[in-house]
Amino acid sequence: MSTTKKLLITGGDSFTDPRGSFYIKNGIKYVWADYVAKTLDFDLINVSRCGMGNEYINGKVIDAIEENIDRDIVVMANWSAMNRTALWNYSFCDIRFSEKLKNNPMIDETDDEYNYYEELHYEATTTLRRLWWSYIADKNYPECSKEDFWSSVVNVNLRNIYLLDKYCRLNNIPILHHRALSIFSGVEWILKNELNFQLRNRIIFNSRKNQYYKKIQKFKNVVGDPDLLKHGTACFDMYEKYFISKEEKHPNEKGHQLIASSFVDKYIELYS
Amino acid sequence: MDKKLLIVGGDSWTDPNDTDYVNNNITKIWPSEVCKFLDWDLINTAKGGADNLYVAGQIIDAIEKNKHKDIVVMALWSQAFRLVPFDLPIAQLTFNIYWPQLEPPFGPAKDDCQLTLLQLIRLHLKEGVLTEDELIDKVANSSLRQIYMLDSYCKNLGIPIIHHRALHTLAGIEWLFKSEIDWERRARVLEVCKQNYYYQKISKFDNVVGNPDFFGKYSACFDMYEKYYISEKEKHPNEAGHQLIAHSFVNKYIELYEERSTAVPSYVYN
Repeated sequence: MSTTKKLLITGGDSFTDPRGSFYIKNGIKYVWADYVAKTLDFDLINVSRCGMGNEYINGKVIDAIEENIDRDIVVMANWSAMNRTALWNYSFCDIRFSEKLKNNPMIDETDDEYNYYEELHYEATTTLRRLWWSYIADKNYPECSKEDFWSSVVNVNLRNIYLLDKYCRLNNIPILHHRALSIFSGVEWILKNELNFQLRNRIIFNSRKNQYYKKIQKFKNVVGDPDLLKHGTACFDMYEKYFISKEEKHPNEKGHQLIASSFVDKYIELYS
Repeated sequence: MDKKLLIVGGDSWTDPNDTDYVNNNITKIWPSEVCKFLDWDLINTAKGGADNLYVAGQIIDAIEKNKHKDIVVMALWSQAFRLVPFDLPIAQLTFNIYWPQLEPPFGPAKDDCQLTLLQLIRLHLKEGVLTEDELIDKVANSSLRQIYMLDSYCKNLGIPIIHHRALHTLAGIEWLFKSEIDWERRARVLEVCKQNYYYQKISKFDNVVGNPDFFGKYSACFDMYEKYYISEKEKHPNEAGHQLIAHSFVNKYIELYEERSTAVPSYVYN
């Protein structure tokens, strides 16, 4: 009687998407979401996608909830970093503002079209950057100073996290939050391809004034460190020993089991 | 008692700072006219070129900051294919085939950006990564979800909300395939979108100004108020147009949210 079971809806990036080439190549068939569903005997819809940002996670989880609104739903989100956006919520129009141009884990590298896709993704990233710089640099546009720029990037991301939480609460759907990556990691790459911890720290410091930052810090339904936005509390920071390898920085089977257990524990603590 | 607070969102049709209004000295924009009429306070979050994510997001930001007030929301929605990445208010990507040539450095930067994104999408179509129908649904879905979610969010919080559309929400998606007017393709877009989950939900809204079918043909302000454009070239409403839009919002508000008279019309003659 599958329909009497609870339905777990999970959202996230490559830490939650079993289709990532690094999992397939290394024989890892199950990610944390599968282990949670198995442990708690829930049905599972996993809407995660490699490389996706928080707007995508918010949107796809809501789509899945709406399509299954008659079910007894539980949501678990493993949030991503701010430097990612998927235009029109379309996963192949993902723009990842990386420190360096990275390979798209969803595309087969032997594919002839592969390089062209990557080239266009890179081009899209650089033209967006150029467009933003052209406004920021011009003093005739005071509404887009550098500070305003970062405040808008932060606001959109945190609003997505806050609104999913609020939407679930308004609909009496249990929800738990974790973060695959520190939410602010790499935020400075949106405008420039280089690590800049000074700028990142300034962005984080200024974000404390953001209304959603304050509201998210009061969340009680966070897995691991209760401060969802605190540096060093993401799965990426915590489970280094359980990466597939030094080069392949995604969790191995044990890593996924650990993440799953932390979600299960929090679920039992809050909702059982 | 505190005044009600009207929070509005939209694109250039609602943005008092839009160059068409500033250049033509049009200061009476529909939201301020609504507030004048009903004696309300106003927060106008609209921005020329906005997409629906921007419209919904900015309205929610304003609601969250003013939760203690007696709020009413009015949204004049934009087009689904527009993009404002990270809500950055002056780097809107409108993919509009009639977009005027803009001054450097922004103009060429915006053109390059739009061109690259169009190439990326068209490559996906060419290589069969997805079909035209799938792309239509994806573009429409992300935008329609915003409209539905804002409605649902307001209703859950007991905030009155009224919807209208400056432009037909789904018109122009076909420009992503080819940068030209193609009525046949546009009809196809509308047909495909009818299957979308949020399209069906929005079609049932009863808080829509004008044609009760949010997606009805010629139901957008752009289609309805041609006679009230500033000029043939500047296709935004003049002050008379804004008054009409304002009155239609006020009428819908009265219809849905104000108490009805229980008095007997004593002036009725036998």
